[in-house]
Amino acid sequence: MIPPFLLHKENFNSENETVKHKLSFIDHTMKNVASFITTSFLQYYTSKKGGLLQAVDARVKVAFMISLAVIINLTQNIPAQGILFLVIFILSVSSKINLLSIYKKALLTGFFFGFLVFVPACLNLFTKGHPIVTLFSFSNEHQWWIYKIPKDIYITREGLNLVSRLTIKVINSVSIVLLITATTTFEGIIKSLSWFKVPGIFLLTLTMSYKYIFVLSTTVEETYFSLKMRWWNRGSVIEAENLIAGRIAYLFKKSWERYELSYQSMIARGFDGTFSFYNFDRLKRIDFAFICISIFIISSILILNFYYA
Amino acid sequence: MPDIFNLQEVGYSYMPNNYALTDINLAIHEGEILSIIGANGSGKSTLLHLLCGLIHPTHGSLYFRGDMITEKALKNAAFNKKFRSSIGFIFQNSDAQLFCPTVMDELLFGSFQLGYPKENALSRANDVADMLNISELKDRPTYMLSGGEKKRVAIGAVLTTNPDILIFDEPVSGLDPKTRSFIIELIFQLNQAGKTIIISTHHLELVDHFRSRVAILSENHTIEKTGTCDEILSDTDLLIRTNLIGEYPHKHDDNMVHKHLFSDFLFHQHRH
Repeated sequence: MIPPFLLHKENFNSENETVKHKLSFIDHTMKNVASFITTSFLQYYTSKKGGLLQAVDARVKVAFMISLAVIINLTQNIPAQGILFLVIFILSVSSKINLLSIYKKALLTGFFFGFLVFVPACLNLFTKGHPIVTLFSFSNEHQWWIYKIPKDIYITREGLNLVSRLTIKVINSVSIVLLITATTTFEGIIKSLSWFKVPGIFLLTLTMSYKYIFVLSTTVEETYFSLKMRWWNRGSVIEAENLIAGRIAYLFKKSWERYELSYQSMIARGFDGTFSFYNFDRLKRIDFAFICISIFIISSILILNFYYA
Repeated sequence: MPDIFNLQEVGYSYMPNNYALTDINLAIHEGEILSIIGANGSGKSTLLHLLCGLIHPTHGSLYFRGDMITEKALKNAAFNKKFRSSIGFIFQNSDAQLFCPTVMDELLFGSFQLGYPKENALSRANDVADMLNISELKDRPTYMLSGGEKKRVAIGAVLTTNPDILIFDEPVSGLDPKTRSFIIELIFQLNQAGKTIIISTHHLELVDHFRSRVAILSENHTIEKTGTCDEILSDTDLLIRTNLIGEYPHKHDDNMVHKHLFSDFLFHQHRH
């Protein structure tokens, strides 16, 4: 029987409701977790766009990415790094990739993990060299424990060169990885790694983890929607934190169940601890053309690096 | 009947140029039962999420009782409360919907959110638990419930706040016949109590049970037709076109296997 309260319309006043939305911190966290789904979909769509890198075989792209990452780290002069930056930029444009999505991440990473980390190295305290700008002048030199603080503290040309080189190295490394992952499906990358003899069991674990994160993100998104539907500004932050803690426990339990089921499904299909992927097609003309161009670019950069050294 | 929702040229895309819904024009009236039907991936759940203000149209306008629903509008605490407390959404996946430690916490959550005194909240929770036959489960953690019990708790958690509009995403999917029957009867009772009911489903027999107004979504993610239950269910071409009925292989006693149009309840039509 329907309870009497359900037969009447609610008559609560929301006009004076001014309590600040307490879900903002959950909003941000859960939105970000759930955005994994969008990112994965976006990655799938960009990898299917009709651009240059999308037409190239995944194995060639993965090999190119690894070679370029090595070259970026071996190259010790700024002009060569500048050319690498230009090459990656041209590849991004010709692959019809959203430049903002790549360079926003690459520049931010470059700033935080390149520039900010290494910026003290441009001072004469750490890198001796020709002064450019004097920052502080003390009356005398100071000796503190094993450190000697000179009379003038200034930015050196050599130090600035070093910081610039390290920053651009970080930017180039991140942008080439982002470019290749944006233009290659996750499955393509996994298969390529298998072709390069990375152990199958490791790749299987990686694939399952990726799929699992996808499933988990869907659950997180649905939970977020459910919470949003039933949370009307009341309740303390502590209550919200308790709810989230409860959901984390629930997700842990779900993870455990899914792990058990997946393993049982593998056993049921004859899993014996080994795993191999379906083979690739043969390389096409465009792949060979790309390999030749890559060898030319990498050789040119190595020569340039040698010449400037 | 006045309109509760009015959708004008509404569209939604998760990705650029990849529409989950496009050009949706639909009015939902106070007190009615509306069934939104369509094949898998036609955009039913997306449409429900739009109605609940969980996502917002990428183009077009969506009005709730004359007020446009936008992300900005829902940042207003008073409007957010008015809107959210009017709508109860029962998710297809009850697991994701239930986030409190026990069944009783679930039933009390909404009432406490609305600031009801403890006695009132407890009375509502107990009444709803009795109605849904889940009184025995009140102290259980939600993950220890069966699928049917979870569905009942999910409905109960929404009903304790007494929303005017109840939105059900695939309400009977994956449930046993007894629970299905219970939920269908409950939906009837709630509608008779004055609630507006919106249901998304691809089960045609559910539409037939409710004899509701129907909006049918095509695989092109737009509304193909709206009409009465009879108008929609009698239009075989429309149902085939929207992938709600199709041909299935069928075996006779004489071992002859052939294909013919089949629907779980509409007809068993042979075309030899």
